[in-house]
Amino acid sequence: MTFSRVFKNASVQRFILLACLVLLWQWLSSTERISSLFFPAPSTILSTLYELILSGLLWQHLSATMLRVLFGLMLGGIPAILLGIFMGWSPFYRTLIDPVISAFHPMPKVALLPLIMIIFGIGELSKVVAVAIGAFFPLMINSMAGVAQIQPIYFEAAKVFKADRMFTLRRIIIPGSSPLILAGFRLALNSSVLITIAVELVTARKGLGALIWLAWELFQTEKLYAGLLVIGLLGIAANSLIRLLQERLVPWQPTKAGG
Amino acid sequence: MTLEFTCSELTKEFDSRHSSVRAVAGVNLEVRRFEFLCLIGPSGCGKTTLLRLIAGLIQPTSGSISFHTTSTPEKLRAAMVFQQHGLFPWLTVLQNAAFSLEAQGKSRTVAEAEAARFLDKLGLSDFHDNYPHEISGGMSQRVAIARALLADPQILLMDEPFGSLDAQTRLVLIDELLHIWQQHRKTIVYVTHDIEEALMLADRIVILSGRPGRILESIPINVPRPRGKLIHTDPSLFACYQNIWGLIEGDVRRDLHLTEETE
Repeated sequence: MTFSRVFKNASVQRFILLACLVLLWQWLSSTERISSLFFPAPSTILSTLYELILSGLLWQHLSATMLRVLFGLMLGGIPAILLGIFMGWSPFYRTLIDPVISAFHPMPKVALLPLIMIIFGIGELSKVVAVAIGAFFPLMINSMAGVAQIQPIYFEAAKVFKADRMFTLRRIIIPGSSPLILAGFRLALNSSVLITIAVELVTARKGLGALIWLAWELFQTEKLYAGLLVIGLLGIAANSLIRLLQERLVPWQPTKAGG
Repeated sequence: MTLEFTCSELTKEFDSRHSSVRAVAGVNLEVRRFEFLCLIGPSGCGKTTLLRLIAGLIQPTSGSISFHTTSTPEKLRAAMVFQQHGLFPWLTVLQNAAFSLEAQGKSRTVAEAEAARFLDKLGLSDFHDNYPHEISGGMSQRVAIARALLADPQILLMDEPFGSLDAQTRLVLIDELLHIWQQHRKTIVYVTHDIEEALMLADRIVILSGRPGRILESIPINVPRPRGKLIHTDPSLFACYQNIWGLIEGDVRRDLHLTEETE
């Protein structure tokens, strides 16, 4: 009775499906029904990953990637939020700056990398700048929209009670725009990871992107898969972080069912 | 008789792209201290505009409002209770109530302690930590009233505060509001489109015409409160009802493009 109920649980079902696929892959690869050169068995990938962890190599690559994401996010994100809130608050500056933003926004930021490398050199700075530019736009646009969508009635209520600008900022602007700023942060985080990996593929010697690029050059497919696995896990960790922040920072939003 | 404020020749025009719309035209109004004044009129007659002018949220195109205030300048002159959704959805009930005190420069701890005491008196002690979307519309409006009263204003401005509530809830809240008004001694300007509501609440009912809003008549209601049970039996209240409806009906029909009733 309880046993069959366990099987009806959606996450249990998902886990079983995933496990079946991995087992199928393991069997196909280890019996060479598919080329283990292109699709090394999950057990091989895991043992490679284990070696990478033991040798400390993985941590070197992972930390390099995470630091680039972190610094890029800070360099691009903090001015993005400040400028976005400012522009959302002031319709005058919004109409002034908006066309510039709209012109730059659709450009795929990775395409800027060669230009950035000309300006900032091939060192760490140009990588962080590329990530920062990618993080800037979604956060800036969402922060602006977040403030602009706050209902006028809340500003009127503040005005009626003679709230000054600082208090209005603290009690209305920031909390009122935080759902959209968080949504922007999610986009910025995703694009930061994406750009970091892309940049590392091209220029870096350390980082998860460099790890898989090196693995490709040496035709170490199992290492390549191990790198991909870690990148995937990094993505999952990023999403959990966002969910945690959402629960912490916007507890007032009616929770969506199943969310 | 002390006057609270006087509106003289108050006019407000709103500019749209090609023309300007007169919302309020040449309003002269004297409001007594501690008076409960109801503003009534057809929808779109500029009631809310008049209220926002008094609140200082917008400036008149011409004319003026003078407040005959005797209190200290730092005291809040007028607080407002909005129609609905006036509470901040990101603040808890307690933080919402304390907002008006904090905006006035009180520290968070002091403001929240004072707000908590007030909410407890209103019987809202179990809901301090709830967010507005978790409580009913009626409760939300009580919190909004608490927020306004906590600022201890001279004048309480209310913009159809019970307009979105069901009839039973409204009846109960009308009683509570009268109770609060008698306890706290405020001048209240209360906007409504509901004649019965105005008859139950007001010392005086001011009737506004359709756009642009002009004062058609000012009717004192001298029936003692509570009037809930009298509203359908007292002949003078009934006469008032007839009188007010007679003044408004034409505008309402014109709005709906109905022809005048012929009998």
